[in-house]
Amino acid sequence: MTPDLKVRIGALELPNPVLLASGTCGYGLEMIPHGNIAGLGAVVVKGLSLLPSKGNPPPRIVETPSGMLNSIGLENIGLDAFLADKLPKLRRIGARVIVNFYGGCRDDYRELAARLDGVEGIHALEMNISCPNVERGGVLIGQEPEEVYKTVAAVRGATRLPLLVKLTPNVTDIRLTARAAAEAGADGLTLINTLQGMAIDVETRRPALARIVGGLSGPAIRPVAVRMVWQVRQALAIPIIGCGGIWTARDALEFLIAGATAVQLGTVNFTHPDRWVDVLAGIASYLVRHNISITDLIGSLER
Amino acid sequence: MLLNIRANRRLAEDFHLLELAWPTGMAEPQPGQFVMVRTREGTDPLWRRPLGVHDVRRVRGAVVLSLLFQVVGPTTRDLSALAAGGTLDLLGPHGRGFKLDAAEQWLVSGGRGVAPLFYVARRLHRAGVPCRAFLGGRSAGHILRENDLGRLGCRVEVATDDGSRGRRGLVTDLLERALARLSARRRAGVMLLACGPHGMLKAVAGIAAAKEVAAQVSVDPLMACGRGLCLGCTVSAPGGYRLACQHGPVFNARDLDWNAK
Repeated sequence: MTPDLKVRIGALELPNPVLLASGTCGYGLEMIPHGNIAGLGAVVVKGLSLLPSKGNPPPRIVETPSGMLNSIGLENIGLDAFLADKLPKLRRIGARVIVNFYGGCRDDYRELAARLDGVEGIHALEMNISCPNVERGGVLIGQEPEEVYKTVAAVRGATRLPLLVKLTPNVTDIRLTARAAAEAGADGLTLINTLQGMAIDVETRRPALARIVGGLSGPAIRPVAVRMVWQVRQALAIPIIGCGGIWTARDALEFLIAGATAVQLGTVNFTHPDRWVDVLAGIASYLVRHNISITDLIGSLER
Repeated sequence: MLLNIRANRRLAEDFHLLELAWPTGMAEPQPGQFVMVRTREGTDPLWRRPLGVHDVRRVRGAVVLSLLFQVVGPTTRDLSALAAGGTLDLLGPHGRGFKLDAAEQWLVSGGRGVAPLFYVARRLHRAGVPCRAFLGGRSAGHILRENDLGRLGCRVEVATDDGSRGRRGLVTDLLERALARLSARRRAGVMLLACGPHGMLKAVAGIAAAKEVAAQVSVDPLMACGRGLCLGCTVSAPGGYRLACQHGPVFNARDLDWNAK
């Protein structure tokens, strides 16, 4: 028997807690050869800006121990092209779509949210206020609780869609920005975006990335992410989507037990594009084996 | 998917040739495309590794995929130890390959850059299109498939850095000399197909531009996914960036920005 895997994040109801993270699954359509994406909790598409963005110069990526650094710089096709070329196909397939978006200033965020509001086929929004690889906006907004509050509140006023806020781990106390986002009206928090990192080619003494500093993802950051999910869970009631280095169902369960209502698979998609199917099956079989409901499992850390 | 290993042998020094049974019913890889392989469970190394399709041929009705690689790190070290009867986890084929529509094709390789060009030679041989090959390498041990290219009807010329095989010097010097001997009319029918280190590709692009010959190059930046998900494998082009995995790995030489840092 397949257990009930439904979860709820504010007004957003999902058939299961397994999502694909923004920036690791294209616009969702790229994942079609690897599985029926309508079977996912949702797909979070590549971060959109008002206008297309060509991203950062190469090299943009480097492999690190159980992880990778990236400095993509939010390359994307822009809002209009997404709505015209990608969304109709996602709707036809029946995928639940969460649109990740970012702006250079508060007005950009507000305009994007307003234009996405009420678009058929979009199930929720995820604000990226945590990208470490762009000059303006991004992580700068995401590190100051007051800026977080103002930007989230502006977006909240512009959309009725369920609103997730993706937070940066590059802060001293994640609970402060988490609280600001929650108080400004977010329906859920995505924890965490990448940790800032750096790698050097010692033979040439050059940085591995053209922009020198990038964002670290992959299993290397998982313990940090689990800790932050747990910390925020202790402090706030807002639903959390856990994200950071999930490679297997076991890893996803760690986040759920720490207090995440759902999880996002990111870097793993590069190596195992169909891994989400196994993670979903692994969560289901765990629930059966432990005779526990998904609701009871979430935040069930024994102490 | 898991492919069955038919054979694995050392060609020379740290270069190896792995033969896999391509699944029946799957579209065959095209020259210039690549596959993504992994050899270990766990998360180190994290990424799959891209390998150019070296050859696709039919053996008693079965389709055989060959991969030529040099041992440079953990994945290729594991690959070199695989034995016939085992399996390899592989995704692909990915990417856009070589367009083979010129009257005459000249292959230009540096070291293991011969990997994707060998399959080109096989296709040209089948189609009866004239083919020349210019192979470059550090030393004799880095000149690969020379005789087999000859058997596929290629006229082969070799250059090595130390002169231990063929002429001493750069493969691009051989290319330049050969082009200089052609009439302008004949040059117009030549397409250069190059794969090798960045410096060699840049030199080929420069020669192609100067001699007004068309050229396609296969590039090899770091790749995480190989399928357009990570947007990491960018190469610089006039006015923006191109993804090696999706728009390439084969590009028209004139479509890339060779002066980008």
